[in-house]
Amino acid sequence: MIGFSAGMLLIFVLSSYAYSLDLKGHNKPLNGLINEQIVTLRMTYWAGSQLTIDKNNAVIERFEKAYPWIKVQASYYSGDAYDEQLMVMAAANNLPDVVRIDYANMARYAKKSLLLPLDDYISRQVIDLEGVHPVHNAGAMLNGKQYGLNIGNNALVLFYDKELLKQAGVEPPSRNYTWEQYESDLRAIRDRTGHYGDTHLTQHHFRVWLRANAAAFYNEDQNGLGYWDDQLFIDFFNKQLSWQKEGLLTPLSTELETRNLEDGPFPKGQTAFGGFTYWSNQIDIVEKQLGKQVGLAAYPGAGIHGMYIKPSFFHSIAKSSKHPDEAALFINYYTNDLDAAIALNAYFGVPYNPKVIAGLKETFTVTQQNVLNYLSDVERYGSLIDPPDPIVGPEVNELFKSISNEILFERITSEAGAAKFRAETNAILSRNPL
Amino acid sequence: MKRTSKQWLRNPDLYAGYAFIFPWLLGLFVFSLFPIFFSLYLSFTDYDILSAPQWIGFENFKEMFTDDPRFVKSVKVTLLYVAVSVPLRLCFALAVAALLNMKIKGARALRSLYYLPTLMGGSVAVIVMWGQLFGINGAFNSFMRSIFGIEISISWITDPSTALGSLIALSVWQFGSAMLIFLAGLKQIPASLLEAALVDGASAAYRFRRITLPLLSPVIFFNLVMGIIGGFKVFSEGMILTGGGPHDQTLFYVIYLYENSFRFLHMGYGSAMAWVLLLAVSILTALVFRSSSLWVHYESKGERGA
Repeated sequence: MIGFSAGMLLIFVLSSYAYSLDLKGHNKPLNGLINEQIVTLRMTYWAGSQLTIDKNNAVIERFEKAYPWIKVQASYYSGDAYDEQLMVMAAANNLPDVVRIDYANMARYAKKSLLLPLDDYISRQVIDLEGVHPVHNAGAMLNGKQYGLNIGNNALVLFYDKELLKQAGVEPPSRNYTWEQYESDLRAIRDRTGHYGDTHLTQHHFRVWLRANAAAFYNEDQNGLGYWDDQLFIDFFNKQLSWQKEGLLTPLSTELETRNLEDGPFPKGQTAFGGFTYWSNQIDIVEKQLGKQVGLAAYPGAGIHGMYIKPSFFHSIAKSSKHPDEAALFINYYTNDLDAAIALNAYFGVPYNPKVIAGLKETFTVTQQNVLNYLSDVERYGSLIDPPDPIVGPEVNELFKSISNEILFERITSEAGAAKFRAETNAILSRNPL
Repeated sequence: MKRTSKQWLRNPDLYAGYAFIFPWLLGLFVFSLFPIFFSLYLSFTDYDILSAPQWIGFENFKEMFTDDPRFVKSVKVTLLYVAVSVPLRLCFALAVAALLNMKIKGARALRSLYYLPTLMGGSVAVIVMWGQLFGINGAFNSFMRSIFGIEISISWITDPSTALGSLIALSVWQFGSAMLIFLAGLKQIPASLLEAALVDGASAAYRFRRITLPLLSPVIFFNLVMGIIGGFKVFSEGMILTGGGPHDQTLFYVIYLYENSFRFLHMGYGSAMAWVLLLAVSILTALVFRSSSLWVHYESKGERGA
């Protein structure tokens, strides 16, 4: 009997709780009236270092001051976890109001109609793109609709330590930096300073090199590789094997153990060149770590078509957002407001809105001026960015990394690696028809 | 008097019982059973998380066994890992337990100390520490350089020939829980038997082989089964330290499963892999159970005795 009454009590408690929840639901409009002013936006972003978090918080702080009725709750994830987290949120229909999305994934999210088209806000000038060249936001355009707003522009970059280069009697890399020159520079650095020249080359180097050779990583239909001659692949790795043997590059193991951007051999002052996969906006992290100014140059062998400008990230509004208007205000502020731009210091790429650039001119630091000069060089001498990778891109990237390690640890020859990469990439692309 | 089903239903205790375990039942259905059966469904589909799953029958399983070299590689790596790390850890745990079972000063304190690595072992911090110890500039290489003057220029973690070995070493190092169970088992062995053998002039090794081991076999059996199951599920060590690399040398089964599900967005394929893993571990455990009648000695055999 006691058991029974206790059980009934529990059911009663649970059901009354449910009832109270229900009541709360009914009360909502009333509460809403009281709190009408306060809107809380959620946003996600990718962070590879503490500096990223600080910079993002700085903009949010300024935004909340400018729009006191909007609060922004930002959460970040680092590394590959970001894409995975975003995917899970999308699957659960729980995307934040403001989503930061990379160029590579933009089309996928837009196609699945998870994002709100921004055209209405653009035409009402809530998002102010007046005088902005359309090329800067072309990557977020799908079927004539704009799904994201570029935060700032980036390019791949070969950083270099000016002092070490000087010590080795090496001229800073010029436009049209050749592989031969790079190789002899690496050797000079090794011989005269005892430092390593650079880290190993990455898939980004390979892609840039393919572009310079009028080829591409994927073909136009994205159902096969975009280069016919495996010699390109073989040369790319044979070069590294011989440099590795001479001790011109950091040990591969050191590179594989690198976790954060700050950890790399270049920010730690172990190499004279910093290729790795640095983007121009990461200069702040590198300079902070090294405690001095670094130079920026195009990749060796990039020729005239190799380098390209890439939007660092896009801001999009989730279709499921309950506060799209406020979200639009926020993403506009992030990209187009001078205050935000000053707080960011071009941290998420160089601004492209002419009004912002004009306003920034006076406050530009030397570093920013260097980045700006470098980017305008890339714009002038590079070519357009490749279309986003196919959906199976991550699988192919994983394969490239795996085979690259297999070759550089001297388990297979470059020739065998080239053939294996081609065969397995084709298998992946055909197994997963897009 | 025989109760009818209606009377049974009228029993108020029944409702009270269910009401009390309702929160747990809810958790079981919503967070365990539903996902389990949903993943069974997904394993027969092509599901990229963002669009609706598409039924493709046994295609995932067919691809796994006929057309996926990385799947084969991950199976090989995991089998090797389990085959080496589980016996090694058991031997190590047993040896330490036997040492701690001796009547020495401070045995209690030592017991706690030796258990510490296990308390922390599953945590990310220890895995990261392992990377610091055996990295290219890690403590181990520095130690070899300063004490023995041996210059080691490889990273035990990321070199293809040592990567799996260093993860196995990490697993052996987490011997604590097995050790504790062994220790409890050792305490159960009647001292009178060992003393009688001692009086008969049996050597220490002989006593261990003929008395300790047979009496301990149920505990060994338990530890073996748990070790095998845990071994197949190995994930975080590889994910954090090596990411499955270099060139798939440490691509554990669950890492590949994770890659497929979340990185390559083949959730259906990942689910299929999970079910294959479940089946494989079940079959293996069943085999170990079948073999137990050959080598596990139960004091109270009952009707099972020969």
